Amino acid sequence: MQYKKEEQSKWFWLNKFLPNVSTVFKDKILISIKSRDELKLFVVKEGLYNVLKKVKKSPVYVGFPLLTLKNNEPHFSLILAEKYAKANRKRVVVNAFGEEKFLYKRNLMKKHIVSFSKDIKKGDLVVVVNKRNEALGFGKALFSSNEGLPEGRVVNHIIDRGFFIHH
Amino acid sequence: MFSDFIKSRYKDIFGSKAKLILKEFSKEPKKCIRINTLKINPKECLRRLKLKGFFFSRVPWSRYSYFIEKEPKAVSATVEHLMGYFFIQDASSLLPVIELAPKRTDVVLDMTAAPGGKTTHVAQIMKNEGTIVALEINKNRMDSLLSNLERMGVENTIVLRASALKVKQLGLKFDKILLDAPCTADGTMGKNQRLRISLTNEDYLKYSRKQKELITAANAVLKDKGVLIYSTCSLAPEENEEVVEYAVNTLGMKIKELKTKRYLTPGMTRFFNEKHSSFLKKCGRVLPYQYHTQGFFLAKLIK
Repeated sequence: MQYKKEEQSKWFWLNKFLPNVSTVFKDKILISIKSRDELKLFVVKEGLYNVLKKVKKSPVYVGFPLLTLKNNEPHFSLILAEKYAKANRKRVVVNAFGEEKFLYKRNLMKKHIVSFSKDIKKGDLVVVVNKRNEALGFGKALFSSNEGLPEGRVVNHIIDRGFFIHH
Repeated sequence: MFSDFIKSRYKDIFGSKAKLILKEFSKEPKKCIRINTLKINPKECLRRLKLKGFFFSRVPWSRYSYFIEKEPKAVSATVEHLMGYFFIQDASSLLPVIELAPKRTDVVLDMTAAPGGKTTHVAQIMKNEGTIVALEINKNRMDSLLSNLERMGVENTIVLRASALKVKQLGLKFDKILLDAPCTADGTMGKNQRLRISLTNEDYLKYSRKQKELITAANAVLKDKGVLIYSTCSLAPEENEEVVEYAVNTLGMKIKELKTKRYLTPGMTRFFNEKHSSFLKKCGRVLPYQYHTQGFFLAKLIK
């Protein structure tokens, strides 16, 4: 494994998956760690980076993870979901029933949804949050905000915080 | 059920206390949660869990850690756990990090980091500032460490897959070091029933040798006047007092009083019919029956 300091601008393309996600890592140091079949991207504070530069070994993890890139497809981290949930964009709010289902890897139905942000388009990556605005994970929207929620399934499950335990 | 070896060994070491210890080992220790102040206020976390029917009592040596007195469902299955609002750990294992007392500017080494209970606790006290270098050699244990760092929102850690014995090769010096050494874990016989019959004298001797190698490696990368906390979840003097005595007499380290000593049983100065250094009284041991925890040992050393 080898690590590398990354140019921030090289990663602005991530904004097409989550609008303005680059604000999470703006003015911070980005470190990539490459292994055989994937690349992991981390956000690192300056002080931590200064210590890292002195270490005579590549890390497996540093700062906090932003994403894993596999076959050029980004898989955003749950810590990013938490930070991004505060941005109030591409967000679906679920009730207690929806929260329980989602944390057990289930897709979300119309009856689970309390509200959603106005900028969602069908196929978008969305952050699923509970009524306390706590990020539960990521899903894929099966609806567009301007058309409203259809009957039945509205968000496909991608990853949830139960991952920490199941993993 | 304990092997004759364990029964006789405990009687030799602990005398009249042996019965109490082994009786306590016949049941599981009390479950404890450490609330993650990086993410939530302890009062708010407790309020949410109490609404779900949980009851708690405070751990005497930590203002953000609680014994679970009533657990209506598995606390690990709650949303609060998944959100990283708390870490489930034995209350005794909070002590090394409390004694380490890391500052927000320190560079701290955690020599054997997985599954991350102590690393995430250090990050919590450092308020995610400064630097923690966490070492783990085992790949399976590494996964649990990384998962816990992310769950608990830790952002000040560099994780390296490296042997603690080869820490000198990293080229760093540290202000503070946590050496929670691999051990026989005989203080966890309450939970790990297999140990009650499987431990042999060779196990104690093997770990004691390894622990001396590890403390030597730690001493080599500790800054002058730096702090090293040595701990194990073993009650054995070979893995504890003997290692500390080696650090002081052979490596030239100094032993310091523990600020949590009022909760602890002082280290032993006589064991296996041999007299040992009087400074060992400054070490501390948690005997399982004192707080219904696992058995634990710790010492604070200065270079």
